[in-house]
Amino acid sequence: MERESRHGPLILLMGGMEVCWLYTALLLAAAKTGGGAFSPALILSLYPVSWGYERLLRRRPWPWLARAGASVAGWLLGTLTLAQWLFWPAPDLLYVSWPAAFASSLIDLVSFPNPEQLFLVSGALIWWLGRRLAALRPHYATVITEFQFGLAMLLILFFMASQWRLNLPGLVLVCLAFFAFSFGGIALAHGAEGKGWLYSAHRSQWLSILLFAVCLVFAFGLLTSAIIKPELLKILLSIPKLLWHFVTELMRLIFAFLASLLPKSDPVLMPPPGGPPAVPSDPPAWVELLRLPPWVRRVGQIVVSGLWLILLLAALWSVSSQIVHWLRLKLEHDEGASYEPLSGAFKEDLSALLRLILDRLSRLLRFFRRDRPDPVSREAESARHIYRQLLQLGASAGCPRHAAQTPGEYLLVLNERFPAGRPEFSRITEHYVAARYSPFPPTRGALERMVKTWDRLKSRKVQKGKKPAKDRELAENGR
Amino acid sequence: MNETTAAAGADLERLRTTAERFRSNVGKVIVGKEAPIDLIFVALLCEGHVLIEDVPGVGKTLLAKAAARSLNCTFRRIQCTPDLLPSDVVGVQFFNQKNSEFEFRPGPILANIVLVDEINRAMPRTQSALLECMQEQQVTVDLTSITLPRPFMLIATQNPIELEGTFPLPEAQLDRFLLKAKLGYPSPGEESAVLSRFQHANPLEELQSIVDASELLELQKIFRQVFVDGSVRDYIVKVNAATRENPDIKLGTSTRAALGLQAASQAMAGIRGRGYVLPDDVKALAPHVLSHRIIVKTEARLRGRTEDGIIEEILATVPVPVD
Repeated sequence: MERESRHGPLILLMGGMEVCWLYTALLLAAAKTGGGAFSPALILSLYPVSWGYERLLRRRPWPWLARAGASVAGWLLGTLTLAQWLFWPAPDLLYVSWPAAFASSLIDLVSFPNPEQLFLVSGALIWWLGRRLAALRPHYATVITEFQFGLAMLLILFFMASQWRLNLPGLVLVCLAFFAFSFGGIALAHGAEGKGWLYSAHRSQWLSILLFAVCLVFAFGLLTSAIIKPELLKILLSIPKLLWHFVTELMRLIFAFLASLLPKSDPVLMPPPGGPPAVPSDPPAWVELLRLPPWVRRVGQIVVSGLWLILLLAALWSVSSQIVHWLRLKLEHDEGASYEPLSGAFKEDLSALLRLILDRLSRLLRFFRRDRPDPVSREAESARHIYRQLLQLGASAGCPRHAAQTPGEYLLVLNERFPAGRPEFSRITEHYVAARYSPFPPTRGALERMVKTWDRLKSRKVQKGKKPAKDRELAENGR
Repeated sequence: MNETTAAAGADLERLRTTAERFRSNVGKVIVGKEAPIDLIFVALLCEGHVLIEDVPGVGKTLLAKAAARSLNCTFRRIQCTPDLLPSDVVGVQFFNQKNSEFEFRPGPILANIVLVDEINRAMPRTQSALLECMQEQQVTVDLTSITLPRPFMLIATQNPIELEGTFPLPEAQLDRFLLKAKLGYPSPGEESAVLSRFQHANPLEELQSIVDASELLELQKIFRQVFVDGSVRDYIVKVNAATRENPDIKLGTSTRAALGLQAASQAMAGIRGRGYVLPDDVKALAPHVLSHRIIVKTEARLRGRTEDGIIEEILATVPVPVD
């Protein structure tokens, strides 16, 4: 209960960390697309809505698919409502042509990225992040990875802003808020796991130092932002520039002096100037055929930009992983030092997302290749399904299969724990193994025998006092 | 498809019965050691080499000799000693004064089955003379390469306890052994049976061959037809990769180890009369195929970690493809 009570503030702090870099990203997007009705603060409102909605959905005893459908429906509703409010704030509620206008803006690739497209993409991302936050189980490693990822995102965004020469408002405050959320979250998570100094005997002293450090960071940040103005930066940057000019001028004078010491050569007669420069003729008509249409070039630009962004993220991720790995190795060699594994939530999310994308792509490819499973493969799938049911039955009876157990090893365990089901377990495992690992799917007869065996196992009558308790338990679960 | 299945079934049945005959034939001499006998037959099928490692007096050499006798092939024995030279193994060019020409006198390695007894007593340069034979099945003497007869199999024995006057096998050589087998002490009942069997005569002398070279070559083609599912292949790769990532292992297993594990699993499935490989085959063979190819870190060894223990631990953690 105590742990649950600490999850609330931790979730808030993690949400705050995400909101900081999301807000910066949205500001950047708004500045890049020319702003207009694209309002970062309003779009960010989807984040808590999504989080709350997902929390509500998770309390419902619905199947996974229904929950996912409800979530998508919620996202659509929220996005459309917000879009209508942002882009077409018509006073007349009967104004119904805005969805068509919205759709046409979305599919307009030539003007990519327009505010509507950015709104859709960022809204989907924010909705997904809100859902993810609701699903997260906050602990120390999660907070640390959130901090690492947020920091990397902020650095990338600041770099992009500086490259595009954009003057985004309120970045100092965003930075300070991010660090305050991060430090607070890290301290709280560390303490919540019962091994932090926040819960030791000198709690008050450490807490004071923490608060003092946070205040110091705030004060130092505000002071820095107050003192270091663009004018001051310009002056500081102009010093090396002046120095460089001085050195180059000095070098020029030295070379001019050295050149004056050499004897002068005879003047060279220049050839008479020719006529006016030739006007380039119009390109032949076939060149037009090779010219790509604007939308193709635009799509190409988007793809290339996306690839560069992915490469940049991958490089950053790789570098940070190597640094963490190096630190870990270093800590391992320091006697008496303790370190904690940082198996991050973001890493899991990323790998899960990549797996999902690959899975969807392979399904799409299979659909286009028209690979339809033949009836024999379906029989193999049926055999697998029955074995999966057997695994579920075993697990529900308190005898789950270990991931590193082969079907044969699991069969031995089942036989030992539930001796009365030995013939059925053996037959089902035998058929499954043949279906799973051999190139030939099971025959219809074999499959029918397997189904009958499974039905027999499920419908075994329990006679009280005659069967061992484990068998009774298994049979009851089977029913 | 049915015809193919039937043909494969007949071939597999032939493979299974031959393995059974081999097992019972060697079993006339070696009591109660079916698993090592099967391992030797697996290696014969894969045309790999076997390293038998155990304490003295448990029947290492006897097992090798019995296996060799069961095959109607040429058999040679090399007793390794510190003064054994590479030319004593591969052969030598000598000047024949009668016809005034150089002639090649083949060494004992030019045989189908070669027993290299106490291999770690040979000096490293003599051990290295076996590298080419084991991998490329040829020997090179004075710029002339001579192909070894097929099938070719090297059975080496070594004693892990005694270290004085021995030279540990280098990694490159260990990697060339497909399998490492251990015999272990027999149970009291088995030991009693051994005493009874050897009371009047040595049964090895009466052992008949049951497979000839041409039949063995055919069986070598048959076992390659045993099917390996993609998921089982992935499982082999994962097990192999896990040896490279284990913190207690200094040097993991090579790709040759993965190839060996796949081939040995195919052969094991074949001698059990099964046309496809199961993860159980891989798990059963992995300790024999992988344990001698890894190098355990010194600090892990000081903590009592052994090659076999680490491989067992890896097998207990790598997920088996089941769905």
